Amino acid sequence: MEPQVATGWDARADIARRPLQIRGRFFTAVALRLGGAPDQGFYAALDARLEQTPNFFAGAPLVVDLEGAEGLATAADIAALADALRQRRLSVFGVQNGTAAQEKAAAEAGLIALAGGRDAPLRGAFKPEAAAPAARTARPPVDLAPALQLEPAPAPEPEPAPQVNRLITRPVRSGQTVVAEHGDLTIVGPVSSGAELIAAGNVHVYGQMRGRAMAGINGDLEARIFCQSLDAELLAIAGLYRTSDTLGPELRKSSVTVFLDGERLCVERLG
Amino acid sequence: MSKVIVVTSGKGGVGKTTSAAAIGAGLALRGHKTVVIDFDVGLRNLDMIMGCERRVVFDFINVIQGDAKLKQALIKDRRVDTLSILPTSQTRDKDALTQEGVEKVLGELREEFDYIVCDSPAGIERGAQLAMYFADEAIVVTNPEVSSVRDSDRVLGLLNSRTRKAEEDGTIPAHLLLTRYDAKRIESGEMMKVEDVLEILAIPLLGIVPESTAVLRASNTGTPVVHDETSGAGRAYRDAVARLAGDSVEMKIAGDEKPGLFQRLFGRTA
Amino acid sequence: MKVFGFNFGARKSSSADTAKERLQILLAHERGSGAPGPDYLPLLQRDILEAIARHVKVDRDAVDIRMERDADLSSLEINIELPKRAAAR
Repeated sequence: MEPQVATGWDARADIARRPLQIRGRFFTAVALRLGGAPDQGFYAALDARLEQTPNFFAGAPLVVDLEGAEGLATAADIAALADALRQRRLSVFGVQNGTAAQEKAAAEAGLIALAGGRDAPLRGAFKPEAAAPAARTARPPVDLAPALQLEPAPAPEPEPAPQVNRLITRPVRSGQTVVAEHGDLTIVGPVSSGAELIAAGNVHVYGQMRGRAMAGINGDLEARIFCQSLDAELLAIAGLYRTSDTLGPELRKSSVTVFLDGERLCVERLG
Repeated sequence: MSKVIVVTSGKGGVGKTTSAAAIGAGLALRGHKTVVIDFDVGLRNLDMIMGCERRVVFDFINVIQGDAKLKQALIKDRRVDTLSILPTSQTRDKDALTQEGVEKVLGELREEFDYIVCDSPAGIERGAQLAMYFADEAIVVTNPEVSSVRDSDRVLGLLNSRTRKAEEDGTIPAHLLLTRYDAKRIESGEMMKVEDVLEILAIPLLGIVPESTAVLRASNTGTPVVHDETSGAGRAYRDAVARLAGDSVEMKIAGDEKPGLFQRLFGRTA
Repeated sequence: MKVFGFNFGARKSSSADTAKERLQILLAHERGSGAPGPDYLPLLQRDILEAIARHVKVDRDAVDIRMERDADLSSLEINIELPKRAAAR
């Protein structure tokens, strides 16, 4: 009965018995694209760039994008690069787009090889007042593009895609899964036992809600679930969930809103 | 214009084959050229329910594999001349069904028949999916109990995603046929109420067929129960068929008539 | 129907008898033919057609095979439509 998305055990119910919690989490990292093997010109450009925004990249998790940097092939080369970056307060932890030999060399230098990821705008914690325009205009030899490194989903706070809501006006049947990856999910019709609703934002159900709903799957703690008639098997927000067993009979078939209050998943009657 | 109707349920033992036979025979009794196809490869039963098991020479699989022509495999019903049966193979397994083969046979049948009723195997595997894939409409056979209702719901999900009609139109018309309805057990709370089933499945109701000894008797003698006009089940199927054909018939739960003992001999109720 | 309990019992056994008889005939055939089921029929059809084709040209579609099984004997009815010219000859 585990939900398929980032989940956590219900802290309120289980933390006393369980020594640890496991949750999927998404982080933003900065990708540093090399134009070629790093030389004096590269470090000069990098220093110039870092000088423009001294605190912007300080301590930022960083991935070296090896595309087009075939010359950088030995573990010693990569270790030297990592050292040079760390001296500049860049917390390099991985590489991507490398050849098999490069990935092996990176592993020897203590860096992990990452697959996938996609570019995201620089926002949130990484956003200094004057940095954004500079970041966009700068191009190789140093290109600092923020990228999401941990597949498969976008980061929690810097929402990469614009909000796209989804509206379903048909019954959602047992065995069906409806996902709103980048926004709210609204169902007009019944949701059967064994059906799953998954949304980055809120979940609204206008009809009997007998299935499972997971809102805020990317970690949005403000996400809510609204049910016109609650009879759900499972309700989850940002990975915290309650099942029908812990929902209690008193709210059954009533209109409710479900939200997070700290580490507690609250179900409250509407109206 | 021909119509392919799949009779399906997910769960086994709910009355799919009985319903497919009754609805096929009922449509034929109304004068429509109708064929009923057995998709349950390896577990042939439609021929027994239709009473033509001794006349099976070639089957659906023989036709798909090119061993026989369609007209050689079709068995004409002896009671209603507008009705034909296409039996399945008892010896092969479901892998003998191919999508192209099913499409080709259905295409040929569409040229000759008004209604093509596909009797689906239980489950949601390949056989059941092939039975539904080319359908224009679906009849979901459900008993008023939780496991059957849940399976029907699952099947409705498949119907609305894994059929050509749904791929084209986004949805396929589906009707609910509630079978083995037992008023006493519903009253005592052992079985689900009709309105509860309807609320969960949210599709229009085609008919309510009461639990009836007439159904067993019909299977025993190989006569689709729709021919038994004295039984509540027989009349319920007639009403369901009328609704399927577009008539507006009041929904009532038919009990068995209490005929004299003499009328109980089957088929003497003219 | 409980009201007709006594009669119901009698009637049930009669239709159940019919069912038993039907099944016996069917299963005897399915078990008896070595390979279960009438899968030899496509081969038989082919052989018959080949034999006839040595003498007249017949369309494969023009063959109609019907079977009737019973407790004691089964009959296989094969109708072959001969082309007009062949029949006239």
